[in-house]
Amino acid sequence: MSKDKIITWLGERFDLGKIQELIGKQVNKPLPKNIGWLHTLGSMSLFLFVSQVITGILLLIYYRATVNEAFESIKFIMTKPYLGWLYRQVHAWGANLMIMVVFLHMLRTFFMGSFKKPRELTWVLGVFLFIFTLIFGFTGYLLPWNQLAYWATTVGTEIAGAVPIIGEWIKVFLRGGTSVGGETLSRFFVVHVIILPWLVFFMIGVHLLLVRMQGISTMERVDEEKKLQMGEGTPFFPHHILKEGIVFYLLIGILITLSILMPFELGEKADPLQTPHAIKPEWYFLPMYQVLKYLPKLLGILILGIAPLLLIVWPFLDKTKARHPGKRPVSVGIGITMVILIIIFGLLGYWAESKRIIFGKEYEFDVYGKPHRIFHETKK
Amino acid sequence: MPEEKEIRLGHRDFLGWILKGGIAVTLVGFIFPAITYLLPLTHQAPVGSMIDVGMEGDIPIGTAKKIISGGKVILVVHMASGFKAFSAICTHLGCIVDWDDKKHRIACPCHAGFFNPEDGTVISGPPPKPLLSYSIKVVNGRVMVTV
Repeated sequence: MSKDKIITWLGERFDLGKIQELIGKQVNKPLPKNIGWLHTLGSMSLFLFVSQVITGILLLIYYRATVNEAFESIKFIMTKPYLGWLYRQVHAWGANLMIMVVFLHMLRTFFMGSFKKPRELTWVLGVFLFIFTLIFGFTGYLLPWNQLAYWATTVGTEIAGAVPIIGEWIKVFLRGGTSVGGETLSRFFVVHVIILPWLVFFMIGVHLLLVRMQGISTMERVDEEKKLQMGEGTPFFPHHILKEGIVFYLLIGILITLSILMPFELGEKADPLQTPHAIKPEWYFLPMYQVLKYLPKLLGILILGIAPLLLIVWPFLDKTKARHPGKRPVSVGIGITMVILIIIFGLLGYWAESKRIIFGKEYEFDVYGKPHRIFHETKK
Repeated sequence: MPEEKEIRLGHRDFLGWILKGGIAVTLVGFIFPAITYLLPLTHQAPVGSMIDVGMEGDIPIGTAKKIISGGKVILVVHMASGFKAFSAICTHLGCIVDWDDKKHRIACPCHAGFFNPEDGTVISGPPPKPLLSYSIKVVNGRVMVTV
């Protein structure tokens, strides 16, 4: 069948002119002049999501979500099928990068004031997408059923148990029983491979639709944004697409390089009778985990619960008109303080319960991340 | 002499082809390993090994025993003439055949196919071919099948 025949066949059934016009409008849509490399963070997040879905499907071919088989099936993936090790590593690194990139995307939106009117709902959806990305990480971490995963999940779900009144119920509900076991694995598996992917898929759809409908934010003040006419600004295709293509290839390179040079170890199979020393959550939960150590349980949970709520309602609290970070000293100040606090608590969490040599002196960091000098007794 | 038509390739066309080619190469580079990864790993089980079916006395004459090994289902029948081993997968549509105690023949429950327990040939019914047979012998009182 020739190309013309196919087009005629389709043309008799659909209004091709209208479809072409619709696509053309999207492709040639002008973007504001201030669009730069930082504006590719959103599509980088999308790219990583797609990469996670593809590598995830490949892993699912051989993965088995049962207590007896999970660990062995991952071991099998890493040794037997062609490039199985690479798919697992790209999936694991992709998860870490995705959390980082989604967070940076959120920071960009915050500091450039893009979340302000009329884009409040896009921001709210984005915050939910960030939270779901974290849950993606938390549920996926358990699936290899190794010691670290098992105990990180035990500790993580234990934290939920500290919520007043309903805490115990939440804990048992999350675990599917009183302790982490086969039921937990099944639950996390279903959330990780069915519920979250579809939920995030549709939310990304709406998020993108809103971005396309309302256009990309400029630095102009709220209610003073000028609508771009065709032929103005930077064309979406090919200018911006090319930029995105470049970052996609960079990301592929980074993912594969990290997978080869810094692979995630599988470790030992989960043993419910043996807790390893200094169990810690993944790095992206470390700041929260560390904050909980300093505060009474209830207060800590309260503060950590307020943080995401504050993010969600932020566009409705900060209704000032200015977008440029230089003209919003208070909110930019709050933003920078939060980022610094996250980094500090993250580092304290990282150092806690470890021994390190700093400038030739040996220190032991306690649970709170406070260093104690170690003096070795010299034998005479 | 007819004038040759000059083919003009501009910078833009050239770059366009490089980009399109690059994308195509990338896609092929991703899809091929993925397909290789999906190929079933069926050739990993040890081949040509002996399977221990059990003691000679465990299977009296006129009875049979079914065993599973390396994904294969094997029917071991003890006839007056000695032990016989057949693949229990019916040659018709792949159902698992069974030993018919009363009529002393191998029967497929799906479409009433019957096989001769001496050599696996079809007695009646739709199966097009005899059952695949395996070599079987008794070593120190134990029945061993070679797969």
